[in-house]
Amino acid sequence: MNSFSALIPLLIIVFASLCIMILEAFLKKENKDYLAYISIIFLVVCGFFLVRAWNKDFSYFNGNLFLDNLSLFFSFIFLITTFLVILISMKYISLQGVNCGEYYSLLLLALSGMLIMVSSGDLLVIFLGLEVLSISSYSLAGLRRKDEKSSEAAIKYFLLGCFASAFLVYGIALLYGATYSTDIASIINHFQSGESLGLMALIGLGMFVIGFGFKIAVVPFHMWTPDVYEGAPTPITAFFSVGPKAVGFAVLLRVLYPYLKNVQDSSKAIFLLLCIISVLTMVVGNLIALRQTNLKRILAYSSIAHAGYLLIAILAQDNASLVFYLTVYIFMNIGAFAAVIALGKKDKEYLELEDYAGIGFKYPWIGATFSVFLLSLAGFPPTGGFLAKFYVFSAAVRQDLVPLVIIGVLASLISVFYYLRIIVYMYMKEPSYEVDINIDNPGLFLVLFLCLYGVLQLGIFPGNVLILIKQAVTALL
Amino acid sequence: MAHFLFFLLAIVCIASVLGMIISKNQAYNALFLVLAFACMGGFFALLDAPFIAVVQIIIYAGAIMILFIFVIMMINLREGLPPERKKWTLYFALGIAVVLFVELILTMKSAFSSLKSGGIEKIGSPTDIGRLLFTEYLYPFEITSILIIAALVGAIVLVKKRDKE
Amino acid sequence: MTDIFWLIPFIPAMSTLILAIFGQKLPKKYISFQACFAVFASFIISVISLVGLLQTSHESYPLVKNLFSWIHAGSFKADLSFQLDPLSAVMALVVTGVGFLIHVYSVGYMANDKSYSRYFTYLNLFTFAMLILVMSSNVVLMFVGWEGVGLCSYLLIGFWFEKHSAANAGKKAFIVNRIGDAAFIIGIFFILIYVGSGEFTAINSAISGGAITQGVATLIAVLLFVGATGKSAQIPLYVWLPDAMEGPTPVSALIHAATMVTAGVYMVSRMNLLYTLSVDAAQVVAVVGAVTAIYAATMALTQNDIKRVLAYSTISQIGYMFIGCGVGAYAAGMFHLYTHAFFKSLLFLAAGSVMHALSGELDMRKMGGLRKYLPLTYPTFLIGAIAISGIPFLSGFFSKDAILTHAFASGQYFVWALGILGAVLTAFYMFRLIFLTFHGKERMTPEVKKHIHEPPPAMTVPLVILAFFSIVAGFIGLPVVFGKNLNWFGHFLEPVIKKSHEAHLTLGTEWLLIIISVAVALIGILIAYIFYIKKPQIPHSLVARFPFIYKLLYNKYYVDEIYNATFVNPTIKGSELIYDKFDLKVIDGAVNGTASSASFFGKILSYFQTGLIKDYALIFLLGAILFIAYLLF
Repeated sequence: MNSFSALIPLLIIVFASLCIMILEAFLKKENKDYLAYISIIFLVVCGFFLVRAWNKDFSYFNGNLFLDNLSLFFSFIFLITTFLVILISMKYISLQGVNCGEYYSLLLLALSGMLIMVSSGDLLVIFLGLEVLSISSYSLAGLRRKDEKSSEAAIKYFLLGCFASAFLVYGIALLYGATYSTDIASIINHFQSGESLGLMALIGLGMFVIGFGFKIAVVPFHMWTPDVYEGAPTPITAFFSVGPKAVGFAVLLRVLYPYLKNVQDSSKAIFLLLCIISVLTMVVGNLIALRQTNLKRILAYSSIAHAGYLLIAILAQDNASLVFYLTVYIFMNIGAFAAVIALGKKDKEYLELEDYAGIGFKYPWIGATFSVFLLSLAGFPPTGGFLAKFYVFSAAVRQDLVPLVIIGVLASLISVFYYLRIIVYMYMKEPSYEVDINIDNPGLFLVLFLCLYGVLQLGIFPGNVLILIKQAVTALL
Repeated sequence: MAHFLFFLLAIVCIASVLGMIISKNQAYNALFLVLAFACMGGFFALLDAPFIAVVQIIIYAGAIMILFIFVIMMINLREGLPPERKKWTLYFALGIAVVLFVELILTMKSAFSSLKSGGIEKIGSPTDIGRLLFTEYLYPFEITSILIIAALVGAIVLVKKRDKE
Repeated sequence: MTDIFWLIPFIPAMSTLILAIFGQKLPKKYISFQACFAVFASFIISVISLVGLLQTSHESYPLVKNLFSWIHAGSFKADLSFQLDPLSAVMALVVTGVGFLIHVYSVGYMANDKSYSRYFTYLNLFTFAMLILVMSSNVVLMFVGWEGVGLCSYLLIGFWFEKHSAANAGKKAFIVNRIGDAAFIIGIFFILIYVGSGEFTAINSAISGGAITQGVATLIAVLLFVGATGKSAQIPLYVWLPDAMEGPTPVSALIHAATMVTAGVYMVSRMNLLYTLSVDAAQVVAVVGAVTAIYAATMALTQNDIKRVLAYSTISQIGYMFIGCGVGAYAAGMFHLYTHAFFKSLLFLAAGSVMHALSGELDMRKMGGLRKYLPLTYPTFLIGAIAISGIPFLSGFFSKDAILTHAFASGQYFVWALGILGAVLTAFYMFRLIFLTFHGKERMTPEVKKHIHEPPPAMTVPLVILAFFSIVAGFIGLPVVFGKNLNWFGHFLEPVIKKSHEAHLTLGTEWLLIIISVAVALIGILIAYIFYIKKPQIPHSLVARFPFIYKLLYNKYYVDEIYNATFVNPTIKGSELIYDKFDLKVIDGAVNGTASSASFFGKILSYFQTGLIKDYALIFLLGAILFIAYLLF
């Protein structure tokens, strides 16, 4: 249905971002928390409109923008992500001396970029949305300006990001050249009809995948991840590890699912390449993570490894399990980062493994929730992480991707080691020095609670969410 | 005639890009880049897109490059940092670049025979561009405004002076 | 009325949750009230459910309550659903009934422990997990309970983890059980593969529908049984149970005597169609059970630690239950499980009260003559001992007799003979225990003697109740010789358990068998009487005459040492070797021996993480050209 309603959620977020910027000039320094509250209010309003649009299939701008259920589901997930990130940022900003006006408005701009990407089937629009997201991300990475690592992260992210964007845009250009269209549906049609220019279109698609491979951080396009994750302000790292990744997978799902499903012969090459990438990602991500001692880097490599599992879901063409995995992933990863952020005080973050010795007993709530998130990342029942992996792997088995599953299971066995090592440190090592933290941080504890709830809810009672997801992915068929 | 112009422009363009990469003087780098952009403008002109050609030269070669040169003059870096790159990585990178180049050529070659002149016929005139921007491409066009805001805010945040502690 | 049965596991779960969160802050009185009440409430609901079940027609068994669907993937699904049928009803009653009494006993026993709330949290958690195990309607959920009770057992064995031996015993139990569980879970996978569903009803219809061949049935049955040998402490995985006595005594009574260790028997009975189909697997069960029964009994002969004697006795009695299952008399096996729960927990609790009286003394050589100091503990202990020895008209007599009669009837004379021999030994070591502890000379130190007292009522009342049930519990399953239809227990279980081959024995033979088993029990008692009351020098001379046998028995056949030498040490040695040769030399400071090779590759890979943008770009490009190259060609 062609309706202006399709544009409303995006407008609200952009408007919110501008509001924050203007308001910041008028607020006293001690009242800067209001900016977070205002952002949250806007997020809630936007969420309301998204929920209202469920099953309505709004579209606008000649179908350049549409809100099918899949877009709505993803948009809603992104809203939750941003909401959680804002909550964990509130205290962090004041403790680590980050300027907050731009912080929230850039975060909201990044969110608007993600909303643009998931609610369009036009590669041009998707590219522009990606740039909105990326440019906001580059600046967000550099916001902790007291720290040189943060600036380094920003410049690295920026340069390599541009590099990847070049591939992406070149790929889109080749696709356009071969098919005279930037619309996903008609490109797929073109592939199906098997007209000449197949090779050019194929290379175009390949470059498109490479460009997105950078965003979702799969090997060998992952090199930026650990450095950027380490340097960026920690809540932003949490955001990076879920937001851009989830949106990247959402777009890949839209492009690759119909491609792999409908184009039989030429898709074999892409399929095989994705298999290789998936294996490399799982193996490399998990192996390097073993060597890390910095929590942010461990989680960075863990997020790389998770991209590998997620690729299996794409290859198995089981959309519901991919979306479910992403949903769980958001809760467990943000939860884990929230626990990392909790260990900090004025101008100091505790990020080394050594710092975590004995934390489990000293701060039982942080230790316990962090353990749950780590177990979920490692895939232990009854957490959501277990079910997510279970769905993905069983879908892959149904598609006869048994070797992939075996490697996946082995890789997650490796991952158990470094996740458990953190728990071992928290509960079984004697602390050799004092770690005192600022625990006056209600927003963060709310996030810990919400993520814990999310991880357990999705692990034990996934039924309702699965029904929603099943409704959402029918949009692809 | 058109062919002659194309090859002339192409050679100049490639040469200036190479010059930009090789030269160590920032001012030269910038000027080579201006030259490359100007050649690109020429390509657009050859493709019957005068408006884009002009815009290409005005914006890139004019505005952006002037800004570059001003910046280079103001911060006054004489020599670039000596590249401490090991020799073999250089050759390695070169090799990879050549392979990529060959691959792209092969891609194009496969398409040469069957490429039609198709798509939208006339896009060069300001009227056509304007019409397209406000009809078919309205949504992407509007999104660019968000993109520009993000870029502006980001750039300012990263360079502005810090609050006094 | 029956549809509230899902509350049975739910109430202890709630109680666990409350205790886990607020336990530290609550007063002891409240904790004990809540913990006991939760189990008691479950017990009441179990009784109500049982009554409801009796009024329901057999056709509608089992009653299934599906709370919610947990995993749905393709055709596979695992639900959180409970079922109520005679088998689970019996188990639920035993777990909550005996569990409740032991909770009450613990109130007295643990009164001065500093980790009071932790103890009751674990105990409630255990009850919850055990109820999940016995009431789940599919194998996946049963496995959750199976692991849950294992975890609780581990936590409770190591409850006093400051004590080194307790922590080690916990670890041992955990590791040994892991071995069994590995086989168990593989068995579950095979079930899922061949049946396509984990529901017991589906498994049963698959078996009776012929979807499972005999070979597959044997494979699954043996794998599951290996799991059962771990949990139920049978050969070869029994070694953890004697060490598990390091835990608090009520825990030994509840987990390591009455309920958890019998989970294997429950599992075999639950899968009785499978074991009926696979004759070989059933034979394995019977032989392992019989050998364990006698083997453990011999080890109990020489132990001086009162709880260890009872531990070996438990292993031996569970062996009897497996004999029952193995010869196709599942009802008899379950019957013995049910009576054993009463008299064995009674024995443990009474032993606990002896310990309590003697300030924690466990060594029987330092006891003696206690009967006049403990006028209440002594008779209850005696009742337990008589019951386990198989003296007529106490509960143990009926159940053990049922097993042995069926073993004889099914033609397994060898198994039957082992069982009879085991009965002699059982009677002997039980009365050895009685005589050493309660009769004879007083060998306590004077200081200990001063403090001897009967425990508080919280501990004695459960003893009396359990003693009462140890006497009467057997009357619901009278053997054929007393009348045709008096085996009410067997009839009750019939809908779930495939009818065993009816014992084709004449009444005369049955009488003969009964007389034999009674006679051997009496002989055992008599020998004990001669050895330890009449002529206490005999045991010493025997030890002097057969030092080798004594040493062998006393050191428990050196099995722990053998396991250490063959499995444990080589593993440790091997990993040390790897650590020395590979880990320390190839990768200095690698974090852990097992992960070292993975870590090694991790290190190599992280060389690429130089931190330089141009290198990153180079790798990106390299990946990209390979990617495109593959697409091109």
